[in-house]
Amino acid sequence: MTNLAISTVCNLNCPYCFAGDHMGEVGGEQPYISRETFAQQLDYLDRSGIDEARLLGGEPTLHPEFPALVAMARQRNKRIVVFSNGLMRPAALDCLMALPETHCHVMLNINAPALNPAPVLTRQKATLKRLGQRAMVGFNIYQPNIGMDFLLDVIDETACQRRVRLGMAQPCLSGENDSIRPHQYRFIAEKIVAFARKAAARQITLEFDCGFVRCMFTDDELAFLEANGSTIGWHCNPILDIDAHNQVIHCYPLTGVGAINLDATSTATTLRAHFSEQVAMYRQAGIFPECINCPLKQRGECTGGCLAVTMRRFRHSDFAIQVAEQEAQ
Amino acid sequence: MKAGYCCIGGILWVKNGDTLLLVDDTQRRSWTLRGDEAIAWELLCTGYRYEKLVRQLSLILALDETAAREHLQAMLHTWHQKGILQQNGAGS
Repeated sequence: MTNLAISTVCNLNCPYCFAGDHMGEVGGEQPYISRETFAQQLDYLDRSGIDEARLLGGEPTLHPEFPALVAMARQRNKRIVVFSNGLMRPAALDCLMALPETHCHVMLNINAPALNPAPVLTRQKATLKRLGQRAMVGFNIYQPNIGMDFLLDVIDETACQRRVRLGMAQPCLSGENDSIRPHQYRFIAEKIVAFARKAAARQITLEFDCGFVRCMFTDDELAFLEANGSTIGWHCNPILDIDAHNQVIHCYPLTGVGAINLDATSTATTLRAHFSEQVAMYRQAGIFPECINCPLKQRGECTGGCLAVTMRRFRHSDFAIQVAEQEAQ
Repeated sequence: MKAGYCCIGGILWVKNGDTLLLVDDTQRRSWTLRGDEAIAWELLCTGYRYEKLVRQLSLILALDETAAREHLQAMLHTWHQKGILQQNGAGS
């Protein structure tokens, strides 16, 4: 898996946005990927044997040449996956509608009503309605006490895929975005399971983004989720996000951790190995102090949550201690 | 004459129960401190002066002050050998 960040421009300003650290670094005068750079990234996908072009931003559909970029990816026979807020230009929507359903998947992120003015939701629903089975609703839990039930009505109204992708807002290393704290995970798990019960009653299933941990759910809750078709995992791996200037990062929340340049020989395998090695020391720990001795983590069944959360637990102590010289020898 | 130690610039640490995990981000090395070492490290990080550190260790580990001082010296020496600490004025 690799995401291609083709735009640093966004038409929303979500407080939990974990791309914030990265957007601040690379915005400026060239906020959109050039066709030449995009072609290099398609070469990389070909070299890596990846048959999807996963486009994200910012808001990727705001790229003035979005239809041309989609066409370039389709010429390489890539399936198009778009991470969008749904506030897209007509030309962008038209170009996605022109793709066969099997070659187009739009992950349309909808915010909680408190962040989403009614006109925004109206536009998002219009986009979802048009995309139909090409689209799936995504939702980021950025506060513990957040209502998600309205998403089920949105799905019924728009006839998009009967599936919701849930994410938990994770912190950037700078910690400047709103995010969920580990001590809130258990409370959120209960909310998710309650939501899953309502969703199941309407034949809607859930899937989970990275950063969830096994211990936030009880055995019974997990059994219920799995029995009702949820796709759930306890993973945190180098996603590989490549920006509009061919800088590769582990993932947006870990923007501060050693970006490298995409070159003509890079493959997903070599890049993933690079980032895995770079963060291996931190992976010994997890988001909770207990993670280090957890059998699930030791067996590799749970990665111990989002690495950005783990890394934010580490601190440096700038101490100096004076001792008698003969004692220091 | 006084000499001393300070923490290497790239060292970060986290407490996991009674175990401390130290990593050196620049050298890509890590160490685990347990027991007396974990206690001493945490006391060091509070910024205690050397004599107070010795007294605290003596109380916590139920050692007389001479034994606590020798124990602390040994730990500082070990950490210096491992590259966790550097001697003051040795650069960063």
